[in-house]
Amino acid sequence: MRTIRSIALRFFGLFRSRRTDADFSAELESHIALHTDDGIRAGLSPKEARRQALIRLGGAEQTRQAHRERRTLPWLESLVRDFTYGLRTLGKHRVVTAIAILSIGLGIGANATIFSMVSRFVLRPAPVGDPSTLLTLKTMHDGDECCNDFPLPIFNDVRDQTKSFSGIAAYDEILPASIGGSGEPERVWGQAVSANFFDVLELPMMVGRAAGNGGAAGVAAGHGAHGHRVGAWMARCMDAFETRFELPLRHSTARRIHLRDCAAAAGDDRACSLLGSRTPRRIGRSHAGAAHGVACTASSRMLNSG
Amino acid sequence: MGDKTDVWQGTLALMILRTLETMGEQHGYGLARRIEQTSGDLLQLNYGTLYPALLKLEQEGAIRSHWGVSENNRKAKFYELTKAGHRQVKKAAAEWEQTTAILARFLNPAEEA
Repeated sequence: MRTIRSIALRFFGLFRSRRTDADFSAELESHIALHTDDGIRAGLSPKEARRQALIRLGGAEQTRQAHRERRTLPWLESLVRDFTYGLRTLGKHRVVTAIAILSIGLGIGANATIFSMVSRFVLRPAPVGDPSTLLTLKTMHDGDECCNDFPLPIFNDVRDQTKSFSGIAAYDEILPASIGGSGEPERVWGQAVSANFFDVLELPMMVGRAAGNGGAAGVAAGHGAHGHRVGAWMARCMDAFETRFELPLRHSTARRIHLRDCAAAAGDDRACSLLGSRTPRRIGRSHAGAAHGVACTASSRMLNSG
Repeated sequence: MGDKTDVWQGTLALMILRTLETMGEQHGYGLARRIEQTSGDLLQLNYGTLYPALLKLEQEGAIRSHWGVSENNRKAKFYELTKAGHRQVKKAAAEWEQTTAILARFLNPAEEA
């Protein structure tokens, strides 16, 4: 308690330094005068008596300094002084300051961005069950990797007949939509997906449920969209919809698997036709432990036969 | 001068408190002289060190100060003990007595036997 009181007083002492300086100078003068009086009474000349008084005091200025150090917090005082000096110097060289602030700011920004990307994509796995079993299905064209959009019948066959995958789902590009409902229209971004998309990705839906079977699709709305408005939009868009949900869509860690000799064909895709005539991307989850080569071969065979 | 001892670290505060307790309110110079006299002129007190010590005690709430007039009509700052100061003297004196008693046992082991 005593220490806290002492520190508080020393802190406030920083702000009334001049007045207490004068007060202590007066006290010191009085001390020297009293001592000098004693010296004169003992038979010394006034000059000698004062000299002796100063000697016994150990120097007036030294005493003032020691008193000042005890009165305030010297380290804080010098810190504040250094800080203000720094600010003054920066103010004098504005161009250098601006360049320094800009470069440091950019440096921090770049580092933060890189770190958040590394953290999101490398350090923290995507919330999709075991990401290593999640594969993007790609077609090959003349030996080169081509596309991963292919027609609905093939998708249906692959989904229904393949044994190497525990499930195959489809998703489309990001779709813009305008949600009206009862309030102001709002532009949201969503994604057309097949009804089994969430099962395959092992992503929990936050609201609602995916509806439809076979070719019917669901819509996943990204972060920030309001659930009820998405629901209203979807209800208007397609009958099969009873879905309302928001979830993060991340499948960037999905690895690619090549389905050889399958021509990519853009065509009728009922799954997503209501959301635009697009051909959805395919994504599959292989059985845990199944070699990717096996999954590839099995699927290729099916695609060829389809 | 060679026979005089410097004030040991940490003892000056107790000397000041004790002197104020016995003499009542006193100005800095009077305190310094009184401490020297009490020590039988064996202590070599640098008067300048007294003031930071007084300030410390004041900051801790053990003493308070006010301006007054000395016996020979000079303006001087007088110090006196507060209630907390009185308590502190008792506590510090008891601690010091215990310390010296323990040391005495080491210095005079024969007494124990």
